Amino acid sequence: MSEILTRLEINCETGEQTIIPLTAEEIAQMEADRIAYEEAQAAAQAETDAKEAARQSGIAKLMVLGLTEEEAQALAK
Amino acid sequence: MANTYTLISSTTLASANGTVTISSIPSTYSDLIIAISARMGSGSGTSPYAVNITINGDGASNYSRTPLFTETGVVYSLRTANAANVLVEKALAGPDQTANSFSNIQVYLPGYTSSSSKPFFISAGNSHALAQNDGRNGIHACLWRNSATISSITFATAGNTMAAGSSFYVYGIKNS
Repeated sequence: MSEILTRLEINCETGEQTIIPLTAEEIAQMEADRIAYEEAQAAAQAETDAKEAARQSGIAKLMVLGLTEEEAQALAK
Repeated sequence: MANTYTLISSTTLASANGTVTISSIPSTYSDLIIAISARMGSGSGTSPYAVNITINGDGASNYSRTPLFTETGVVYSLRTANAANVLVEKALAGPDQTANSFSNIQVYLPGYTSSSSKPFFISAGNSHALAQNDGRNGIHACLWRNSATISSITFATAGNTMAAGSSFYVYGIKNS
């Protein structure tokens, strides 16, 4: 990113507020955090999708057994 | 039951910042509450909407978190243990969401001067999404495994900034 990333430090004791440019190490950590975040979100989404797919599969099988869609949906909640 | 709230610090960002550190927090209260109204800055990198929280600059694997999280149509929970920070996902309104809408985040830190591990609680939400047409809410039970008094807390975005206008209020609470 082109802008200079900064850190605002708020000192509760003195009330002083200081803007400090982030170090290369801090910026690298933020990027690592972003990647970790995106990986975690992708994993969570995949798990949610898998659960929903299994639920829909169960509903379809219940309907084959003769349940109405409403009945199958109620059981699969 | 807490009966006194004292405003320790209040700050509204005049410009976007990637990280905000609240330091030199006095140890003269029983509990702390940090009330945040924040939004991601625009046009800077990707938009993970997350806030990372670290305490006393501790980047070691001393944090754990159990959130209950919702966004439109989805409810889920998970467990994160031995993490290097507390990552509060989807806590910030993004640049692709309704202009000038800010998320609300509250961090409650009881017994922050205790010599034991510090449990703390976060609630976060925004319901102003536009592009995603959804709302997001999360409650997060957290733990910092450290015996030190909490004297500083850092809020960082994951590769982005918090927008100008974001505000941070720190309150101390005394039980008597």
